[in-house]
Amino acid sequence: MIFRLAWADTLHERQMAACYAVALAAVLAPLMVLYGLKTGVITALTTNLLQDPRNLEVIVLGNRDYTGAYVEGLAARDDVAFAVPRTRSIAATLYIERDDGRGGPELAELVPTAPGDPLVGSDAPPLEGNTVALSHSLATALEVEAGDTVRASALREIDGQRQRVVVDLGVAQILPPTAFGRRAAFAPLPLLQAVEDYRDGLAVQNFGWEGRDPGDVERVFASFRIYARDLDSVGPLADFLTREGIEVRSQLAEIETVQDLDANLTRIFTIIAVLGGAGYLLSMGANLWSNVKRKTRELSVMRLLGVPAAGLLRFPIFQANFVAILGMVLAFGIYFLGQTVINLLFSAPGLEGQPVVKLLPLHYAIAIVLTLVAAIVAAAVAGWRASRIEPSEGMRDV
Amino acid sequence: MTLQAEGLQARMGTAQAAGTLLVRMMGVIKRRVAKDRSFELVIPDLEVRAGEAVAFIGPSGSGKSTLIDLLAMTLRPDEARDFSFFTPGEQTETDLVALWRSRKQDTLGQIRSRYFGYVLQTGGLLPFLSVRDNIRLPQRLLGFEDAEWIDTLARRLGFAEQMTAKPGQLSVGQRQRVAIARALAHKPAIVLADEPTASLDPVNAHGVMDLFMELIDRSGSTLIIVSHDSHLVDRFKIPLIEGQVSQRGATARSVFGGAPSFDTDRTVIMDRTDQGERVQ
Repeated sequence: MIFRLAWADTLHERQMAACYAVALAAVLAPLMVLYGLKTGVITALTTNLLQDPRNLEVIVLGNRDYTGAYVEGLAARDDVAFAVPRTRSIAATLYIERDDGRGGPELAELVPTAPGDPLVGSDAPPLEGNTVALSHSLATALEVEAGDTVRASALREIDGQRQRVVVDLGVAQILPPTAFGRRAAFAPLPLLQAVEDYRDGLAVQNFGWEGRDPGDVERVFASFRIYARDLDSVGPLADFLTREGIEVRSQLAEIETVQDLDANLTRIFTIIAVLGGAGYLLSMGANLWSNVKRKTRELSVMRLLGVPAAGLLRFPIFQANFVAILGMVLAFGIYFLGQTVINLLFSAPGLEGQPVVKLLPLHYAIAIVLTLVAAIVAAAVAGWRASRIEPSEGMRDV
Repeated sequence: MTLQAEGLQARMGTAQAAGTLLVRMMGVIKRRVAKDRSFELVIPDLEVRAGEAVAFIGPSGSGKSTLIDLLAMTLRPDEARDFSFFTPGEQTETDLVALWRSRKQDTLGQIRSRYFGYVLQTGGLLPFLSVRDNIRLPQRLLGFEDAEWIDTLARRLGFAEQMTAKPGQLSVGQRQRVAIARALAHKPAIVLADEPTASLDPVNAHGVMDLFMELIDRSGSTLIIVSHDSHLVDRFKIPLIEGQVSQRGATARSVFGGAPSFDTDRTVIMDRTDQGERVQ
C-alpha cells in the first residue's frame, strides 16, 4: 500500500526523481572511475612486480662451502619460497647439441632446479633423472621443442689428457623468454653434482663415468639459488643473509621504489576517496532531506487519512530507495562507459592489455550498500521529523 | 475498541440511531502563544450527536479551524476535563484525553480514518494519485472497496468523466468536489468540513453546498461545518454555534458553546512543558 503510494508519487514527479538521481550519479560516477583507476593502476604495478619472479631472487655472490643441510634450513624459513644448492659455476657448463647432430653444439649453463622453482613454474611435471628445461634462447639456438632429446657432453683434462662423456637429456619444457635470458639448461641437482664430480676427475657411478674414487667426504656446495616468499620478504631475507656473512644482491631498491609509489598513490587516492565519498553521502542525504521537506503537505494529508506513523516513515524511505537505485544504475552506466574509454585509450606501462581502470565486485557491493544505507538514514531522519508535524499545520501552511 | 473492517461493513448503509452521542467535549482548551500576544480557544461544553448537523460560525481568528482540528484529533488539546468519542452502534466510550496523554497517535489516527471524513479548505488531495485513487484511499486504508458508492459520488458531484485525471488537471471547484467525495467515500459517522466552499465563487459555492448536503443525507453522516459565512449555512437550516471572542489585555479568548463560566473548574491534563509538543 505505502509502497504503491510512494511509487505513484515518484512516477508523478518523475522529472524531480530523475534530477535527484542524476545529481546522485554525477557524484558517484567520477568517484567510481577514480577508485577504479586506483585499483587498476596499483594492481598493474603490483602484478608487474609479482609477475617477474626475478624480483624475488636474492643473488648470492662469490663461492663458499655450504652444506646441503644449511640450504635446506634456509628453504624451510618462513620468508623463503625456494632454495636449492648450486655447484661451482665453472663446473656447471655443458655442450649441448641436437641428437641428430644438426644443431649445436652450444655451450650452456647448468642451473640447478627442484620442485617449486619460481622460474620453472609449477604447471609442468617435475624434472627428474635426465630431463631438463631449456631456456628460450638455448631452445631457439638448437631449434628444439619440448619432448625432443638433446645430447650433452662434459669435458675434462686429466694429466694433460682430454676426456669427454656424453649423456642424452630429455627436454621436458621450454621456459618463457622472460624467465631466463642466457642459454641455460635447468636440471635436477644430481646431474649438476655428477658433472661437477666428473670435472673434478672423480668417478660417477650412476652415470658409469670413470675416475678417482670420491671417498666418503661430506658434499659441499659453492653457492645456492634463493627466492623470497613475497616482495616484502626480500629486504629481511637479504639482511639475514648479509648477517650470515654472505654477500648478496637483490632488486630491493626497485621494489622499494614501486612500493613507495604504491603507498603514496594509495594515500592520495584514499584522501580523495574519503573526501569525495563524504561529499557524495552528504549531498545525497541533503537532496533526500529536502525532498521529504517538500513532501510535508502530502505526508500531512496521509496522516489525516489515518496512515500510521510507521507508514509515513516508510513513504520517504521507499522513495529514497527508488532514487538511490536509479542513481546507481545511471552511475554504473557512466562508469562502464568511462572505464571502457579509458582502458581503450591508455594502458599501464609494462602491462599492455591489462585494464587501467577496474573495480572488484567487492567495490560495487560497498558502493551499493553505502548508498542505500545513507539514503535510508537520510530519508528516515527527515521522514521522522516530517511525521512529527501536526497534520493540521502541514495541510494549511504549506 | 473493535476496528475490524467487517464491523464497518456491517454498519455501512444502515442508518445510525439518530441522537446517540458521538463526541463529548467539556472544558477543552487550546492555547496558541505568539511573541507579544496569545490566543485561547475554550470549549466549555459541546456534544455531537448522530445524524445532526452543526455549524461553527465566527470571524477569522476566532479559532474555528482549531476547533475542527481538535475534533479531528489532529491537534493536541492543552487542557480538557472530558474529551470522549463514542463508537457508533456500540456506544463504547473512548477517552481521547488518555490517548493523547499516552501519545497513542496511531490509535487516534485509526479512529479518525474509520469514523471521520475531513473536507479541507483547499482540497488536500494527493497530487500523485488519480481522482479515483484519491477517493478510494480512505476505503483502502480500511481494507475494503465499495466502487458503487464511489461511482455514485462521482456522478452526483459531476466529475465522473475525470476519474483518471490527476488533481492538478482539475479546476479549483472540481478539486473541492473531489475532496468532498473523498471525505464521504467510507461513509464516515462524522464529516468535518473546514470552509468547504471558501475557495469557490458564490454560484459554484451554492451548487457544491447543495450537493454536499444531499450526500451527507444519503450517507447518514453527522456534519460539522466551519464557516465565516452564516448566510450559506442559513439556507440549510443548520444550527449555528457562534464563537464569542473577547480581548483581555494581550490575550484573545474565543468560546464555542456551553456555559462560559466553567473556567474556575478546569482540569489540567497536560504539563506546561508539553504545550509546545508537536503532534504526530
